[in-house]
Amino acid sequence: MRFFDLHVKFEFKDFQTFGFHNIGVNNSTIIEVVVNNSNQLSKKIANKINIVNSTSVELLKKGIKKFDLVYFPGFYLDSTLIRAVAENKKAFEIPISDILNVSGIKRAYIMGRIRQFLRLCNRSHASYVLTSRAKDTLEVKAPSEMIAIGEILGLTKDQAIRAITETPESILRKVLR
Amino acid sequence: MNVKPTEKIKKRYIALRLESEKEIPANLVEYNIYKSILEFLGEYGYSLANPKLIKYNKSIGIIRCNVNEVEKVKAALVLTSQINNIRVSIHTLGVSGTLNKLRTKKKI
Repeated sequence: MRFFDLHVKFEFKDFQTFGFHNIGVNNSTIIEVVVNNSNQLSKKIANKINIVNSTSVELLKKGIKKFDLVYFPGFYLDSTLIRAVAENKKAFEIPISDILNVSGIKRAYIMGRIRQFLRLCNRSHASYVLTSRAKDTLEVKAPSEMIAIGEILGLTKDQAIRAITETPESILRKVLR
Repeated sequence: MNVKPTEKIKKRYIALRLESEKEIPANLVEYNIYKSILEFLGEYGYSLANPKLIKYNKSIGIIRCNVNEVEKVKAALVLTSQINNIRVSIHTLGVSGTLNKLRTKKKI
């Protein structure tokens, strides 16, 4: 099985020792665009994984066709956005760092949100990708650890595995085509 | 007390490796591993998982827990990010049903 971590924020060379087949490095193979207004919905950069990051559902829906991955911080439930992602065959990014870098009630709160969000994604057949968004090696998690985290987020083992194998691989294949 | 093997609660052994910015004393690691599992699973979840750190030496350890709670304990370990304000990362090396198999497989 080939595992992928599509979003790492540093030049991570030892990814194969962790068990990954390939990774996506920020500003190298990945371009993340934080969108606050519609002017920032720039054109797609070829041969790179384009991620759109916005708290606005309308902006995300507007820019969905130009991007490969959608990151919706806060994971507020919005079935129209989830349906739009499913219809356009895009995927949501679920970063583990959002859970890792908080603790206590905040962690419980965000985990609950992600759990609800993923439940709706599964119901709407929307794809999602588990990523680490690691800033250094201490934040990188091995595939089996990511699967364990996926399971506590309400996914079945198969769904968690798919979120770090098939789905990211198909996105990479689409981008590098 | 005599209990048949089939009546015993099944356990699993998880091998773990601690990565940290500075060296941390073993007793502090042990305390914080239990603490982070308790924080993550809550008192009820902790009682179900029944975790026990069997061995910890030179940043490699073995933790025993209930078979049904392995993934939760693994997640609790993985989500431990700090011990006494020192940034850490706990990696799980493998899971096994017997201690001997884990020791030979993972060379602990």
